[in-house]
Amino acid sequence: MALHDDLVKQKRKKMTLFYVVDTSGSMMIDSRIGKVNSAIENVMNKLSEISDNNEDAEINIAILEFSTGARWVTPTPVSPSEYTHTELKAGGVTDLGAACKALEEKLHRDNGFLDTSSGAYPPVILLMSDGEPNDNWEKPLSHLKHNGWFERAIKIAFAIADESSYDVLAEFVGTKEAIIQVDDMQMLEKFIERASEITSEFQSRSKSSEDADKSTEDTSAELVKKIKKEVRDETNAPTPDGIIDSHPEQGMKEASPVDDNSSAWDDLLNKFS
Amino acid sequence: MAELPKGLTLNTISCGTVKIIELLGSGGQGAVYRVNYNGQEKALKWYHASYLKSMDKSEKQTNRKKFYENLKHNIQKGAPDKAFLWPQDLTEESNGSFGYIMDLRPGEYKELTDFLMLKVRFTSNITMINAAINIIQGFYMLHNDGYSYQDLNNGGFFINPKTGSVLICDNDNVAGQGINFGISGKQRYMAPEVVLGGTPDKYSDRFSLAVILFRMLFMEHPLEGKYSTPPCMIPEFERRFYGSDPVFIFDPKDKRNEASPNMQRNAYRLWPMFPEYIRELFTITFSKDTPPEKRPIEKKWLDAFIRLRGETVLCGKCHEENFIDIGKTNKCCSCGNVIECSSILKFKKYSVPIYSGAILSAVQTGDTQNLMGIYGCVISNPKNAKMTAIKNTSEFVWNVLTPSGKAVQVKQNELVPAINGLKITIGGNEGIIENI
Ligand SMILES: Nc1ncnc2c1ncn2[C@@H]1O[C@H](COP(=O)(O)OP(=O)(O)O)[C@@H](O)[C@H]1O
Ligand SMILES: [Zn+2]
Repeated sequence: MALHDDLVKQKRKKMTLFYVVDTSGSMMIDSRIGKVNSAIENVMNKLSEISDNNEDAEINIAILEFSTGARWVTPTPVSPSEYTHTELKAGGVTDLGAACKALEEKLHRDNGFLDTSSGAYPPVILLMSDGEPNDNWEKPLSHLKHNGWFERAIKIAFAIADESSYDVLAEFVGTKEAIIQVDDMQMLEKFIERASEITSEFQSRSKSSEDADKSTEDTSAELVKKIKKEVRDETNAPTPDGIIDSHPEQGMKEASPVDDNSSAWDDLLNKFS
Repeated sequence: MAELPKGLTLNTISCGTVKIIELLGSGGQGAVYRVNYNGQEKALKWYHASYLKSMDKSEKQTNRKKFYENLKHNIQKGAPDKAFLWPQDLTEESNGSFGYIMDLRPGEYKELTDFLMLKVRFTSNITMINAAINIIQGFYMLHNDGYSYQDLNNGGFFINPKTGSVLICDNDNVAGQGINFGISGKQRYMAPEVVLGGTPDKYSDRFSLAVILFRMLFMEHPLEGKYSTPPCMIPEFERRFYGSDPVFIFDPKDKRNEASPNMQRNAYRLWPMFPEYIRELFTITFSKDTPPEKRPIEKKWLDAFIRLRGETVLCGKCHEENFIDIGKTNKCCSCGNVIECSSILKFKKYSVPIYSGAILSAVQTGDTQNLMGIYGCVISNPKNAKMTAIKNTSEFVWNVLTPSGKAVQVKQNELVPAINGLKITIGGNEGIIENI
């Protein structure tokens, strides 16, 4: 049937999942880095399956490690099926500022990681860290926060073992409710895996009327709740996150509605350079 | 999402028992198990307790109790059409959740998503049209029963690529006029008024149905073009491009989102191959000027697709399947050969083109209940393509009256020569061959 010969695959929007991994020396304790390595390695199969069966979005991943300085593990975003993980090694200090700078450089269309010829969904950024940064991170983070892609990304942070970095992580993700505190290293892998899966899938689920007009932070917080719940159900353990209790009902921010006839549209479009 | 253990037994409201055999898969709202239900293998959809809990919190007046009662009511009323994998029984509540029983989906049915992603293909255009007819008929019956489906999206449809048979799943949000359990639907499938905050109903179902059909036929999304592809699809843009200012890629007036040969390659190529009466239904449905109540009703879609199936012929030169428009000059979509159809077999409502490859379906004769029945086909003489005949492939005997007044009975596998003025009566419905 000529009608359906020469069909081409429909172009899907891209969704890039960023792993920003702290590989400072302390990540060696309790084999934290080992857990992160195996989580990333293990979840690729599932991500490639999700991407294969998702007619809305094609998923790509990018990995940035930071210790003394920051380094892209993936020179460009790759599809999870093509990615081969090489072990990240821990050593050095925690230069979060360097990570923010590296991330900012790539959160662009031109000379960046965000190819949008067929459109894109907001990226997902998973930040994993186990301690307070050593460098001057405030300025690079504040610069990063002016990046439109960063602003609208789903951002989730994993506070590994140490609570001292909590405020810094909250500053990065925009709300404490988007932080997953992991004290039990046995759980770290599960959290990273579930977070990767749930954030990759969420564009293509049916929505309820309650989901409308949520801000980026509230969406991230909502996803964190879901991740925690699934991990809890899976392990039948009491909630591993005893520190912060989420109260998403409080302080709900509505995404600002945009007037149809205003130049606001151009402003909005220009955010994604 | 703690999994139900194998062997666990649950009771149903109609005093049946359900025994868990294995987990089949898990989704956003629940998990599906293979179960033994009163001695038969069935599927059990078991809700995540958290999903039901979220209903309790919903601002709307509805809640899980009403959701449960609605399922019960739907079970009692029964499926509106055989295309639905309809809930058949409901379990009692246990551990904060419950589930419903439905038939297992046979393996030969493939997910619509797999068709859209080119992993599965229809074996022919006729099969694809059959699938469209079955889907439309399902919603026709559903809406006639006073229900709306409310969450129509690619995930709910399973299709047999060899026959076009359809199974529609996820029927748990199906509810009567004005009832909604908090669901809005899936982005890219929701009607504009629902994207903007409205409640789904049969009118929004019709929009979503058209999206499903468009994607199946044209392998592209009707509202996604250059204009509606911003660098990053944030919620504000979703609201705009699917809600407040959606533009159909083939809108005759508004060209902002017009399909391009590079970006919408499939739709760009396929759109002109379909006859005007099909394209028009999509154009009306996706036009911003069409209010929800004015969207074409299922009956219109059904008539159009029955006509399309009936006007599909095989090119005399290259044998490619072609949709022709009777009365117009048609060119083969593959080899460019002019397909000339100079006569038709005319029934009350539909006409069968006398051209090789055309099928004579039961509905065309007037047997409206039998949507998938085929009674005959048009064949041409291999030695002389100009000589055509209609073959009786049905089990009935046809009563044929020649132009000279001679009555002939035509049995299964026998031929009727296509002569101007000849009358054929099939099951009480008379058709006449006419030159055009
Ligand atoms: N009646 C059925 N027979 C066999 N498999 C089914 C049936 N219903 C659903 N499934 C499978 O079970 C899984 C979960 O289904 P569902 O909960 O409806 O998920 P989703 O939220 O992804 O639609 C899917 O893989 C689906 O294909
Ligand atoms: Zn031809």
